[in-house]
Amino acid sequence: MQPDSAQTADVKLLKAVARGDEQALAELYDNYRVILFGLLVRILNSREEAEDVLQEVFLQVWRRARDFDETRGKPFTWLVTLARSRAIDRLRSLGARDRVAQASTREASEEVSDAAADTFRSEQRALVTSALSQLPEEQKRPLVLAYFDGLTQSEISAKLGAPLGTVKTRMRAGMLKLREQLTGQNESFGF
Amino acid sequence: MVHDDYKQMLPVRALSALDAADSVALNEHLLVCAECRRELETWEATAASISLSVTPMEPSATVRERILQQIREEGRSRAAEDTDARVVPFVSRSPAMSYGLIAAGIVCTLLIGWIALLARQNRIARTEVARLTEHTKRIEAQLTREHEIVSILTGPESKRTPLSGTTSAPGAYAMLAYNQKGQAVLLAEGLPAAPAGKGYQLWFIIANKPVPGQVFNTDSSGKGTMRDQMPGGVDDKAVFAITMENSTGAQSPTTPILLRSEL
Repeated sequence: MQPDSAQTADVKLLKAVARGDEQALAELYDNYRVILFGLLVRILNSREEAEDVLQEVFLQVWRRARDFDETRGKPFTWLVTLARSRAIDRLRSLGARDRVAQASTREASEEVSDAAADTFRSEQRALVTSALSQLPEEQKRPLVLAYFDGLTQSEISAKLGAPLGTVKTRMRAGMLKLREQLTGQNESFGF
Repeated sequence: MVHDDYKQMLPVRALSALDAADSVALNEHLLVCAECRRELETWEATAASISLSVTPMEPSATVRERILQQIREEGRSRAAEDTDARVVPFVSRSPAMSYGLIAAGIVCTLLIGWIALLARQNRIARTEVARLTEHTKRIEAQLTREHEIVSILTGPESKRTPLSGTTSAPGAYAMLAYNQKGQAVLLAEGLPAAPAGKGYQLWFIIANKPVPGQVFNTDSSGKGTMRDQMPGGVDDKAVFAITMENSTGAQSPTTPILLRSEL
């Protein structure tokens, strides 16, 4: 969700990283550190854990940059997916027993926070936040629980006390609506 | 599940929220469905956008330094490994040499395959030769035996004595031929095949005393051939008879005489 020029620059950086360019990795880190670190803190609810995982993520980028295929996705999607996946793995390893119970706590604490990044990212954040806010709560909640807490459909069903089939329907409907909301923006942001 | 069922799963897969069974099934489908793979990429982009709803946060400055420090250490380790690798006494090869080695490898592979094929054919040929040799030996033995029988039956010095069926076997007939060496051949016909465990036994009745001979049987046409060795004391007064006995033979007749020579 970045301008085409920024996406192109990030692709070049990833290619340079794949060639072993340390400076390119440093630039990539500078471009994405606040977005990814915010995401990691949101998922792990711990600065210490989040910094640890952030380090792991960029080491993984260093080792796997050659796996990035620009025809299959944008650098933003690749990096965010990598970071989230690492964080969910860390979250699950920290204690699956309490994960479902903790989910609602983290959700409540994060939703009151505010943006503090540059203007461009603030705009992006506003657009996504707006798109999410337009989702009915019954659709938004399962998406948030899945995305930030790493819960599966069955776990969400148990947590919300809703039938599994209903959860599946709501999650799919929520994702469809979110995509519709973002599609217009995607054009302008090179999404 | 069909294609549309898997398509329904894609948005949730992008959130990593599928339950294990669905996830496994979808993974298998994605291996063979390019359309779903492409669509999953768009859903992953949508899912990634959710991350932008989160408050951006600044990590501590030490994280950047730790990352760069670690990749430098990895770089040094890799360089050391590369150096170690170069120490391994492998000679650097030119492309022509590499092609030569590849060609040599192919030739070796073909040669090994050819040798294996030859070895297999050799084993088959040896087995066949052994089988034919055994068959030939059997034929030779049979020919020898038949030649001896013919010799006994037709030799100028051979004696031939007919045996006629008694009232117990009125249609039976046999002929016993023997030579000076005491080699005897019995040809019989008109005797039904003996029951299981039974056989026809030849008797040499010398001075009214029966001397047991060999046991034989007949085929479905009622014919049978047997070789035997004449006991000592057989003279012109000897009588030959045939009875039915156990297949292992008896020391004296236990059943009525079926065939006998003339006195």
